Amino acid sequence: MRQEKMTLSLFLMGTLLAGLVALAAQMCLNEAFSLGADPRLLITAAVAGGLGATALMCTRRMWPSLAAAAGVAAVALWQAGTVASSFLGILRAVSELFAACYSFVPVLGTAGGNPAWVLMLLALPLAWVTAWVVCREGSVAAVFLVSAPVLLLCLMIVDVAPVFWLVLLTAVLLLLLLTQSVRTNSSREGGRLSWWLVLPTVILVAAITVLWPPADYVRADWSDTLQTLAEAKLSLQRLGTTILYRGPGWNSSLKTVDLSVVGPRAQTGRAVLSYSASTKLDYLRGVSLGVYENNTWSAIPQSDYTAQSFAIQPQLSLGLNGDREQYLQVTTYASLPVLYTAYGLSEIPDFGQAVDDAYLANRENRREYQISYNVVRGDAGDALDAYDAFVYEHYLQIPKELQEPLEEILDAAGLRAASAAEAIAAWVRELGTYDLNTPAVPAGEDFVLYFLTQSQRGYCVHFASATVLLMRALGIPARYVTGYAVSGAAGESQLVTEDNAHAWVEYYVSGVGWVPVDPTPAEALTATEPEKEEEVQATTEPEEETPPQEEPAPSEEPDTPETPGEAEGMSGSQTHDSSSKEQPDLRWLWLLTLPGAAGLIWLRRVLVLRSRLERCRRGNPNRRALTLWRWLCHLSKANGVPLDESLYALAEKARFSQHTLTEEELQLLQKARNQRIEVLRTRPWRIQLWDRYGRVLY
Amino acid sequence: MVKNWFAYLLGLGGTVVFHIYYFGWYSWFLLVLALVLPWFSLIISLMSMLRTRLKLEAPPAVSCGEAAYVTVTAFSGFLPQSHLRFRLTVTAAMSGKKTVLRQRVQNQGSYYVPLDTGHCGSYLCRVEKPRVYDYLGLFWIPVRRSEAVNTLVRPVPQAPAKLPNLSQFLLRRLKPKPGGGFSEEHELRDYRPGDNLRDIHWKLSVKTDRLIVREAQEPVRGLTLLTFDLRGDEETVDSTLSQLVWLSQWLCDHDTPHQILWLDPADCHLAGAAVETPEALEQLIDRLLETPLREDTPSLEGRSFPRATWRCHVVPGEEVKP
Repeated sequence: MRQEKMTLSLFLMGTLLAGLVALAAQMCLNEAFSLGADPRLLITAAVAGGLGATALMCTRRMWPSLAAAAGVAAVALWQAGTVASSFLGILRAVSELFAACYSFVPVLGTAGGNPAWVLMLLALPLAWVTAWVVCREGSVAAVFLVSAPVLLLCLMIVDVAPVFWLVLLTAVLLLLLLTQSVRTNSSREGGRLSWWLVLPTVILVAAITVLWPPADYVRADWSDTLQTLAEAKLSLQRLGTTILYRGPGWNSSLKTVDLSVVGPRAQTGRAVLSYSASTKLDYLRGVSLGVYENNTWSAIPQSDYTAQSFAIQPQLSLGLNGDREQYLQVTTYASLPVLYTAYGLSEIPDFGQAVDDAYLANRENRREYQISYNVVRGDAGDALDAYDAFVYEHYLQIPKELQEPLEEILDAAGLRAASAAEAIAAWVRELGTYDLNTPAVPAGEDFVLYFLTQSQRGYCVHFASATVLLMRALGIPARYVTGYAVSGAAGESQLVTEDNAHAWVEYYVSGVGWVPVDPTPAEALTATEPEKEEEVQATTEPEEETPPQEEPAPSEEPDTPETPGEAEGMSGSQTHDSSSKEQPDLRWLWLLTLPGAAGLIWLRRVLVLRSRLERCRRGNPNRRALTLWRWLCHLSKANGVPLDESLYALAEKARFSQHTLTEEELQLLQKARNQRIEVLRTRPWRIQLWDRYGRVLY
Repeated sequence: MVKNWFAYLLGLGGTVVFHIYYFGWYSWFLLVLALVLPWFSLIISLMSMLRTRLKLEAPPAVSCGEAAYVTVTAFSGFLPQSHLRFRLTVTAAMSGKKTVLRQRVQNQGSYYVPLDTGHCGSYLCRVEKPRVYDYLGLFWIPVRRSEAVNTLVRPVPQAPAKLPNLSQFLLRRLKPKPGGGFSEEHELRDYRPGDNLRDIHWKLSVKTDRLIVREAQEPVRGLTLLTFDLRGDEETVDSTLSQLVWLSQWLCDHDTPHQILWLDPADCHLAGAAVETPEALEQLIDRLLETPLREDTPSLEGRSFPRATWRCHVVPGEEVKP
C-alpha cells in the first residue's frame, strides 16, 4: 500500500465521503426503526468521525488509529450504562418491528435509552474504513462490507426502508467504485477524480430517483414473471417483507392502523396460511378497529370493553341458533397472534380469547386450529341488548372536524334518504376508482376526506374507511375490519398470501350483530390468471394445491346483506387498467438517448470512413482520384486553406478527360490528403473531435 | 478488460436476482443503476480518454553496456488518467529481433523502460496498440500513436587481443614532394643538377661551401585498408565492430587516413568508406549499425587487395591477421 502525502483536496474528499457514509448508516437505522435519535447529534458525530478518521490517515502508522479506538472504547466503558441502555433500546425497537413481521423473532431488549449513543459509536468505524479506502488506496469492497449489515437490516422490511439514506449510501459506494482504478494507484489522483465525479454521480442517482419515484413504484409484471420462473427452479421465499397488509399485524400493537403511511401497494406473494372450509368463504376475519382519529384506526379502549359484561360474546351473535354447523380448518405458516375466523362463529374456541371487541387472540400460539361456524344465522333476540348500548356508544365516533364535511357529502349525494348501509357502500363503490398505486395522503390532509373529495382513488383501505365514517355520520354504527379476502371451492385446501389481505366494513344491526359489507369496487376484483395460480402454487407446500382464485359466490346466509360477490385478491397487479399496462415505459429512452446517439455517430464514422478508404484504394484510377478530390475539398473547408490549382487540374482531368490518371498523379492527391490530415491533427482536441466525427471524417 | 466485464456481469446478475426476489423499490433502483453504469462510466471517462497522449523519448545514441531507458510519458490534461495499455516494441535493425513489452500505466507521468544495450545495434522503439480504458475498465478507445524513436548502441572500442604491426604508423615517413612547393616539412641535401635554384638554401650553402637544397617533403600516404565481415551473431558483431572502431580510431589519432571495406549484406557487394576523422568513423559506425545482417554474407578475409600498402582484416575474438 503506497502511501502518498495527504493533500488538502484528498483530506476534504476523505472527510466528505467518510462523513456521508457514517451519516447515511446512522440515519438509515434511525428512520427505518423510528429510533428517535436527535439528527443533530448524528450529524455532528458523522462530521467529527469523518474529520477524525481522515486526520488519522495523515500519519503513516497504525498506532494513532489504535489509540483513537482505545480512547473511544474507554469512553464507551466509562458510560457503559448509558451505552448499554441505548443498545437495549435500539434492540427493542428493531426486534419489535421484526417480530411484527416474523413471528419466530422474539422481542428483545428494553425500551428506553438514548439511541444516539450507539448510533454515534457505529459511525466511527464506518468513517474510519471509508477514510482508509479513500486516503490509503483501499478497495470499495471494504466500505460495502462494513455497511452491508446496516443495509440488510433496513432492507428486510420493505415499508420502512429509508429511501433517501439508502440512495445516499449507494451514491457514495458508486463514487468509490468509479474511482477505484485510479485510486488504487494514487490516492491523490483518486481524490481529485472523486471531486470531478461528485456532480455527475449526483445527477445520475437523482435522475433515476426522479424518473422512477419510490412513492409511485409498482413492481413490473415481468419481474413477477421472472420470479415465478425462478421459483420454479429454486423455491425461495421472497426477500424482505412488509408490515402493511399482513393480516392484523399492522404494527406491533395489533390495534392501530396508521393510514398516513398507506401508499402504493406492493405485491409480495408471501404465503400466510392455508385453510379448508366446509362451505365457500368470502372472508377470514381478523381484527376490527373502531376509533378513527388523526388518520389512524385503533381499537376500542381496552378499559371500555373489559368493563362490560354481555349476555353473549358479540363475536357469536351472527352464529346464534344456526342449525348447520360448519368447520373451518386453518394452518398458518408462522404462529400468528390472531385467530382467523369465518363469520357466524358458533363458539369461542378454548385456545382463543376475545380481545377488546377487536379480535380473537391466539392464546396458545397455535399454528393449526379448527373453528366451527354456522352458515344460517339465527336471531339473537334480546341477547344483544346490552351490547347494543355499547355499540351505539362507541361505534358512532367521528372526529369533530369531519362531522360537518361528512354531513355535506351525505346531503350532496342524497344518501340521507337512503339511510341504508348498503346504499352508502354502493355509493362509495361507485364514487371511487380502484388503484393499487394510490400514493399516500398528502401531509395535513384527512385520509377519508381526501379520498371522498379530492383523489377518489384508492383501494380497500380507502373505500372501507370512507364507508365506515359515512355510515357513522348517518347514525349507523360501523367499524373497520381487516383480514383476508378468500375464495375457493368448499372442502379444498386454499392458500392465502399477503396479497389477499383486505379491509372491509362491518355495520351493526340491532338484534343481529355485526354484518359485513365490502365497499371496494367489483371491477377491482380479479379472476386468477394461470400464472398467478402457478406463482401461488410455487410458494405452497407440495401437498397443498392452490386452486384458482375465482370470484367467490355471495354469502349463503339469507339475512346477510349482499356483499360484493367477488373476493378481492391483493394480487392486484392484474387489476391495473390494461391500457396502462400496455403503454410502453418511455423513460428508458431518456437514459438510452445519449449513448445511442454517440453509438450512431461512431458507427457512421466507421462505415463512411471504411467505404471512403476502400474507394480511394481500389477501382478505376479516375474514380479514385475523384474520391480523393472530394475528400480534399472537405479537408480544405475544415482548415480553411484553399486547394492547389494543380490538384484541381488533376481532378478535372479525372472527371472530364479520357485519359486515365497515372499512379504518380494519384499519389499526388494522396499526399495532399495526408498533409491536410496531419495539419488537422494539430488542432485542439475539441475541434479535432468535431472534425473526426462530424465534419470531415478522417 | 475481460476480467472487468466478468465482474460487471456478475454484479449485474446479482442485481437481477436481487430484483427478482426483493419487491421493494431499492431493487429496481439498483437494477437500473447497474444497467446504466457502463455507459455512465464511458461518458464520464470520455474527456480524459480523448485527451490521453503518449510520448516516447529515448537517447539517440549510447555506448554498448551503458544504461539507457525509453521514457514513455502519458498525459491526459487536467483530468486524472484512467487505465492505459500499450505494447512497446523494440526492433533491432541488425538482427531483426523484435522484443515486445506489454505495458500498463495507471496515472499520468513518465515511465522508464530499460533498454537492452548489451549488444550494439540500432534499436527502433515504437508504441503499438495504445489503448485507454474508461474508469471501470470496460470500454477502450485507441490513443494516437507517438513517433517511433531510434537509439543507436555504439560499440565500445576494444583493442584486439593481438595488435597488428602498426609501427609504420608510429613514425611519420616523408618523401619528397613532387614539384616542390610549400610544405611544412623540408629536408636538406646536396644540390643535384636539375634542382630549382629557388630551392637552394643560400645561407647554409655559404656556411658549408656546398650547394644545399631545401627539398619539400610530404608524408608517405599509402593505401591503408581495414576490412571486416559484417556477419555473425550479436557477440561476433560486437567484437568485430569494437575492434574495428579501436583500430580506426588509432589510425585517425596517428593521422593516417584509411579505408574500411566490408561486404554489404544487402547485395554482397563490396562497400567501403574513407575515414580520415573520428566524425567520419562515427558516421560509418552509425550506418553499419542500421544494416540488417544476413547469415550467408561471404567473408573478405581471403580476398587480396594488392593496391593496399597496409591491410588489416578484423576478425572477432581472434588474432588480427595483417
